[in-house]
Amino acid sequence: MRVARLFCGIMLSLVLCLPATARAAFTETLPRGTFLLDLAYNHSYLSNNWDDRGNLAPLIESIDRYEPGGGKQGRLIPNADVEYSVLLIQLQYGILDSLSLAVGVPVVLNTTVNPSFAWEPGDYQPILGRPYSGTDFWEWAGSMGQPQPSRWDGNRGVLSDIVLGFRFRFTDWIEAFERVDLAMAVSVMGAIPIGQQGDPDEPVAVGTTLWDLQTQGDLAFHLSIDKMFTRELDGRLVLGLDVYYEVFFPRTQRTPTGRTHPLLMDQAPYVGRTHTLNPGDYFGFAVAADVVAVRGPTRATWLTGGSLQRAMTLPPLLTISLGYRFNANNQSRFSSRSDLWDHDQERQWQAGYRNTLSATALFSFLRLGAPLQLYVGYRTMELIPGKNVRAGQVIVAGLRAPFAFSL
Amino acid sequence: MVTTPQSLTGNGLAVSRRTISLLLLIAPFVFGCELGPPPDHALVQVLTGSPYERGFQHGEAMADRIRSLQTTLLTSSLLPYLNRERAAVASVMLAYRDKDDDEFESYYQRYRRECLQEFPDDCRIKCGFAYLVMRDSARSLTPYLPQRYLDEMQGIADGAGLPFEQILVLNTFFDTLLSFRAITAFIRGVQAPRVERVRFLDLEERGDYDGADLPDEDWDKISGPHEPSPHAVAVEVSPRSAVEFLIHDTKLEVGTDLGEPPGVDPSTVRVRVDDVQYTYPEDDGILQVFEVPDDEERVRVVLIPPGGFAEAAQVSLVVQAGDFNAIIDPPPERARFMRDERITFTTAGFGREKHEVANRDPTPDGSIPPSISFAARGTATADGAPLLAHHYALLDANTVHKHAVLSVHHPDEGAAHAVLGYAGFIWGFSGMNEHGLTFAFNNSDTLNNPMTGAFLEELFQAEFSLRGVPIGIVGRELLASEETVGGAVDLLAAVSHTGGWNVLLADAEGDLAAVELDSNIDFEGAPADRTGAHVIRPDDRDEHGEPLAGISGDELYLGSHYRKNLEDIRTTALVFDVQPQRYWTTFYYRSVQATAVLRERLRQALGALDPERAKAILRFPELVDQRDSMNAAIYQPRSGTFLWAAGEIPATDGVFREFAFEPAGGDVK
Repeated sequence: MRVARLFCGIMLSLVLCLPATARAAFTETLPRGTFLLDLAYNHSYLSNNWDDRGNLAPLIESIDRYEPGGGKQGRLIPNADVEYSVLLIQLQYGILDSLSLAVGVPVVLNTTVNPSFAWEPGDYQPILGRPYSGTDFWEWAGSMGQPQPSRWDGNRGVLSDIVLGFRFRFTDWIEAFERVDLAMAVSVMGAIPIGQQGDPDEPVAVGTTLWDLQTQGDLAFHLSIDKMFTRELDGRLVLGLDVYYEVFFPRTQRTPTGRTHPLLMDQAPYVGRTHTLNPGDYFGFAVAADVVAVRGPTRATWLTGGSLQRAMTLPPLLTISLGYRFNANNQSRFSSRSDLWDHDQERQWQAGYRNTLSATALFSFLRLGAPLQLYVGYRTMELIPGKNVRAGQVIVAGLRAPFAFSL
Repeated sequence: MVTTPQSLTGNGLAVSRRTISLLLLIAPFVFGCELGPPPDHALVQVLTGSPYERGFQHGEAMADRIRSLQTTLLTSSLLPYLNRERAAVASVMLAYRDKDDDEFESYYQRYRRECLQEFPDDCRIKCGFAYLVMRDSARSLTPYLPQRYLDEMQGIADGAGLPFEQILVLNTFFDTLLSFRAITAFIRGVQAPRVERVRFLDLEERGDYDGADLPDEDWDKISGPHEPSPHAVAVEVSPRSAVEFLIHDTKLEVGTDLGEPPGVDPSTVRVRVDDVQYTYPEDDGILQVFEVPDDEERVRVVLIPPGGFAEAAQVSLVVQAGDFNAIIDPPPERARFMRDERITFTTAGFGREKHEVANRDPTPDGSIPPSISFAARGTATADGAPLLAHHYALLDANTVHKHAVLSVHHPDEGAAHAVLGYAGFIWGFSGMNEHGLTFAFNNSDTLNNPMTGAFLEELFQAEFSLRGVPIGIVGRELLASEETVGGAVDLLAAVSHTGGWNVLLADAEGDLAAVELDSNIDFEGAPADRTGAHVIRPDDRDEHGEPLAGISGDELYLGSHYRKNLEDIRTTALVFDVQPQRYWTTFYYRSVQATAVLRERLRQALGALDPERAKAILRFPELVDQRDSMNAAIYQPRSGTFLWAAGEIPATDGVFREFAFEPAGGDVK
C-alpha cells in the first residue's frame, strides 16, 4: 500500500530545536574556573509540514485509494499531531575566560504521536451499495491484516545523542575588536551516537537520535560575531551573527519487517534487513538581538563579597532575546537493495530549508544575590514558509545555575 | 579563452571568473544536492543463450526488482486481498472451510496446520488461503510447461537467489488469479439479484399510470428473459414511457446468504438514466418499487423519468439492487449487490435497428475501460503495412508499473523475440519476434476454465486446481516457434488453455487474426464439436451481416469480452446455472463500452492509421484506465520495429520508446 511509504514520513519527521543558549550572544563564554549548569525543558508540537512548493501542508500526503477493479474507494487524508518532551541537561565550564567546554545530555522524557485519518468518499461501489466510508475502508484494510495505526507513546526517559563541544572567543587577544565592541568565536560540537532509532515496525514511532530530533548535525562548526553597544547604548543591546555547517554521518538503520503492520511496513524482504541513511548536512546562519529590558535592582551580596561595584557587572535582571535562523538541509541519500525504495525515501527527505523565529526572556537573579537564572522561550517554524521541512513549535523553560569551586 | 556572460557583468557589478568558480564550487553546499530523478521503472534486458542461461541473466540483473514486485504486489497486496474471499469460497467449496467445530479437518485446515508448524511466524501469507491456491495452481500447471520454460524459471531463481517455488508462483499467479476471480465473481453473482425482464409502457394514453402491474399485452417492448447485450434491447420507444424491471434475488441453500429473508431490499435500488441517478425511496414517484404478490424473491421496479426521455435519442440505463443479506465476511458489512446492469434503448425517431446501436454509456467517465487491442493493414493503414496496438490494463496496486521490463530473447534455438512484461516474469502481455509475428492478449472472463471443471466434477469437494499452459508462456512459445499468423492460430488451437483470453495476431505479410480462447472443459450440454479457440478474421461477419470485430475488412479490434465465443459455457451444477461470461462478469459492460469507443476512433483513422495515430487512439481518455493501466505497445510487423510504453500510470502517459531487432543481436533501443 502506498500508505506505507508515507507513514515513514512520520517516523523521522520530528522537529525539535533544542536551545543552543538562552541568550543571543553567540560569543559568550564562561569566566575561567566557572561552571554553569543549564536545565531546559523543551516541549515541541508538530502537525504541519512545509511542502516542496512552500505551502503549509499536513505531515503526510493524501492518498487516493482504489478498490482493485472497482473504482476509487476514496481519499485518505492522514495527519499526525506529534509532541515531544525533552530535558536538556548542559554543563559548561570555563577553561579560560575565552574558552569554554560544554557537554549536553538530552533526555527524551516522552513522545506522543497521535495519527488521525480524515476521509473523502470516492466512487459509488457497486459491491457495497454505497461509497466507502472511512470506517468501511479501515474494516477493509483490517480484513487484509492491516490495523489502523493508532496513538503511539514512547521514548520515556530515553537518551538522545550526547553532545560535546567547545567555544573559543579568539578575538580576546585582538585589541582592534575590543575598540569597536566586536567579538568573534568559533564553536565546534560533536555527538556521541547513543540515541535510538525508532521501532521500524511501528509506523508512527520516532527515535531519539539527533537526526530524529532534527536538532543539529553530528559534527557542527560555527563561526560567530557579536556587536556590543557598550558606549552608545550603555550595553543594553547585543547583536549577533552565527554561520554554521553541520555534518550528519551515514548510519545503518533497521528496515521495517511488517511484523505488526504487514501491508504498510513489509519492506525488509526487498530492501534488506538494514539500509544506510546519509542525512543531508545542515548549513545556515542565525541572527539575534539581546535587549536588556531591566538592568536592576542591584545589591551587594555574598555573591560579590559585599561589593556593589562587582554586582553591577553581573547580568541584568531581564534580558529579551529575539532571533531568526535560516537552516538549509541537503538532500538525503538512502542506500539499500532496492533503488525504488531508496528514491521513495529520498523523496520524503528532500533538500529544503526552514526559517525559525524565536523569543526568549532571561531572568537573572545574580544581582539580587541568588545564583540562579530562569528563562522561558518560544520558537516557531510556522510563521515564515520553509521548504521540505517540518513546521514545529517549541516552548522552552529552563534554569541556569553558575557555580565555582574555591580551594 | 573563457568568456564571462554579459548577464553576470552587467550593471557595473563585475563578477570575476574566480568568483564564478567559487560560486560553482560552493553551490552544492549552499543549495544542496537535489532529489535525483526516479529510477527507470521500465528496463530493457537482452538475454542470450540457453533457457537456463537467459533465466540466470534475468534473475541476476533483476533480483532487486523481482523481490520488490513479489513483496509489494503479492505479499502486501494481492494475497491478503484474495484471502478475504476464503469465506465465500468455502461456502461452496468445502475444502476451504475453517470452522473449528467441523467434524473433519478440511484441506485448508490441514495445510495451514502443517504450514504453521514449518513456518510458525508466517501465518498471514504463506500459510494463508490465497497462497495455498496460488501454490497448488502453480504445481498443477507445471506438467503443462515445456521444460525449457521451467529451466528459464530455475535460472531466474538461481540468478536472483530466490526459491524456485517463488518464481513459479510469480509466473503463474496471473492465470490463477483470473480463473479464481471468475469463480469468486460467479459465486457472488449467483447469490445476488439479477434483472429478469425489462418492459416499456407508452404513457401517451396513460397519463395517470401509477406503476401498477399490467398484462404483457399492454407493454410495448419486452426484453425477457433479459439478455445482456452489446446492443440496444429496444428501439423506437415512445419518449413518454415507463420502464419496468423485474428483479429476482435467488435464495440458495448454499453460499453465504443464509439466514436472511430472501428478496430485493427496495432501499438499495438505483437506476441511472444517462447521467442522472435516481434512488429509492429518495426519488419515489420517479422510481417505484413494488412487491410481487406471493413471490418474496422478486420486485418490480418502475421508472417514470420526469418529462420523459429525450426524443429521437439513445438512452442508457444502469440498474443496481441489493438483497437483504448482511454479509460481514469479508468486511465491511454490506448487502449482496448485483453488478451494474446497463440497458440501452432508443426513442422514436432515432431510426436504427437494435444491432446498430451500441450498448454504451454516454457519460465519458461512466465506465472504466479494460484491456484493448487493435490491428490494421492494407487500406486501413497509411502505408498499407500491418500494425498492431495493445494497451493492457488490469492491476497495478501502485507498484506493478515500477517493475516493467522489456525482455529481448536471443535463444540458442528458435527465433529472437521480445516480450513486454515485468521483473521475474518469463512472459509478456504482448511481443514480437524477428520475423514480425506479433502477439497480444487480453483477459476475457470465462467459467470455461479448469477450476470450474474441477467443481463440475467434484462439486463441493472440489479444490482450486488450474491446468493448461499459462497464456503468457503460450505467447513465448508462439513467438519462438512460429513465423506467421496461420502457424500461431494452429498453435493456439492445439494448446490447453488456463482460462479465457482474447488474442490478437499480426504478421509481416499483413495477415491478421483474433482468437477467443477458453479451456474447452467438458460440461453437460456441450456441443460435440465444441472448440476452445474461436478464430475471427477481419472480414468475418455476424448474423446481421456486420463485421464481427472489424470495420472495413482490413482491421480487427478486441476488448475483454467474447464476440464469437458467445456460448463459452452453459450448464447446470446442482443449483447453479453456469452461464456465459456476459451474464456475470463485471468486465462485460466495460468492455462493450470500450470496444464501441475504440471502433469509433478506429473508423475516424481508417486509411491513415500509422504509429502516431495508433498512439493517439491508445491515449484517448475513454480508452485509458487511469489507475490499472499496465503497458502499451504499437507493433509494426513488417519493419520488425515497435514502440512501447510502460513504467507510468497510465502507461500511455509516458514516452513510447522505440525498439528494433538487429540481425546480430545488437537491438536498437
